[in-house]
Amino acid sequence: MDPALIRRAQTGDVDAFTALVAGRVEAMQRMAMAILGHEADARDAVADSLAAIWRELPRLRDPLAFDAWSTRILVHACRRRLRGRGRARVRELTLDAADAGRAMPTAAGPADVVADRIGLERAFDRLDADERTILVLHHLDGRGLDEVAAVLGIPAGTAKSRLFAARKALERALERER
Amino acid sequence: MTDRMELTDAAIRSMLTARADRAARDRFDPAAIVAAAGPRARRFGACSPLVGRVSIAAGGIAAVLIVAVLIGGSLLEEPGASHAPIGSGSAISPSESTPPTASASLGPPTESFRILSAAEAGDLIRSRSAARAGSLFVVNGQLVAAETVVTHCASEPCGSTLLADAGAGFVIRPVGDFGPGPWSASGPGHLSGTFVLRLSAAVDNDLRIVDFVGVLTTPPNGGPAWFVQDLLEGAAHNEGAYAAVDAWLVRDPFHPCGSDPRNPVVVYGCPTDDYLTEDKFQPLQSDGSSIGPAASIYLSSGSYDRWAQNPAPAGLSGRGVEPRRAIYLLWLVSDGCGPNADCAPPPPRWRIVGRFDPLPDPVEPAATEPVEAFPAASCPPGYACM
Repeated sequence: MDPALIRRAQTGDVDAFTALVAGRVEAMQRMAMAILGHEADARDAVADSLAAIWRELPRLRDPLAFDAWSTRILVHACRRRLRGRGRARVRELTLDAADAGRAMPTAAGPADVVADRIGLERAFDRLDADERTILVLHHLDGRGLDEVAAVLGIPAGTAKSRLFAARKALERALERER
Repeated sequence: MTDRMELTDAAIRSMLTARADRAARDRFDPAAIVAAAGPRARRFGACSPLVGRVSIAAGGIAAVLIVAVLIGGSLLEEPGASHAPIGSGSAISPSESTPPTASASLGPPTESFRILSAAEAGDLIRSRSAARAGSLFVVNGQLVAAETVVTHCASEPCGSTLLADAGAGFVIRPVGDFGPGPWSASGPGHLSGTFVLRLSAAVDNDLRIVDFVGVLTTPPNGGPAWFVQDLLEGAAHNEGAYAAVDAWLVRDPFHPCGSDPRNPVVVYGCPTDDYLTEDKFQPLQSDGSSIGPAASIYLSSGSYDRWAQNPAPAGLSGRGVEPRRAIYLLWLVSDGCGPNADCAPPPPRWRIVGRFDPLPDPVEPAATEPVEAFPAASCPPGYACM
């Protein structure tokens, strides 16, 4: 991330802001979708986040922290969306077998693959916002514990324990799906 | 769901990738986002203590980075809405006060809360102190002692405390009726942080008095208000902490009370159980029974009647109440045992001591409350004075 670009955006340069977020929007959409599992909610969360990034950017002291800072804003927006619609909601999935088979290749047949993925996603939908978030940051975004901690604003040790707890919660939720 | 499936990192990653792949590829128009985003935050560290300022006293002590105020609403008065003074002097002490006035605004509150700059806080104080006496707001900034701004402490002239970079015309004093109690005559010294302040109609030596309630504990995500779950699960807080909580206030139906030999000062569960819940929750069931919320902040009996906006009955024969969502100011305090009780003090619990309601725009013309300037004789060092 170009610190000069961030500084220009901080001073109100809309073109710099556009350049700053242009390359991030797709990743933001994917992360929001992974956390929320709902297209409209994800879209709203990203829009809210972009507005918040623009609004709060002048307060960012360290341009090098932009990635963690902006991701934190998105995560917060997702959490708020999730809280707004209730944490125990389980969504009906609309996956087709071919799509599922591409996404989760295993030695099992297509029907099993679909069943596994639907079950796992249903289990994921049972998790609360914090559990979903930390799993997405680590497993989808590929962030290490230090990076996860930076995004969430918590110590690395806490991130580790929360990740472990989220994984356990997913296991328990998966058991309930069986 | 197949029995053979194991939860592996690869399975989680694959599921999340497929889930993320379903994201819409919307194009966002940055110009539209910028236009809709509202006013931008002020930049950190733009001032210096000795930089002269055109506005009276506004720029002298410029260690303020972002001095911020959390107030209810967008600061825009809703037509026809009546706003309850939050934490007004008479409404703070549970045993001595009257409930806040009902408000017509019952919408989700957090989205409308925002952080103000010190300058905005100053405008609010100068223009609305009398009209909105008792209203709470939150400022994240710096309190500074100004020995040369003379007001009175217990009838004796003494130095005063100012909010840096907020302009002139007011001083800050401890609230007195709850919270950490009075400062010494020299004030809190240089104190930086996020504070809860309260408008008041009091004036001393032509300077408006603003009550200092306490230091606000803010959530780690940087938001101004906590959610119930986060407050319950977060790090332990010290007794005396304040927190703004976005929550639903609800009450169980009345039920018979037994005698309490401890004679507690604050009663729980008799005649009502009162809660703050994260989601809208109705303890009263359709069959007339009641259940408690799974995750909640348990409040002293009577909290709903006292702090809910427009308290309203609900359910069979009006035995229940309508949950009311707002930003409530909580104070972590031990309730004590009562004057005649023989017991160990109970552990501190959160108690509602105020509610953040929408306040009007502080930058509206303040025709009825003209801004006052420091008299030259009381001009503090570093301030531009008339």
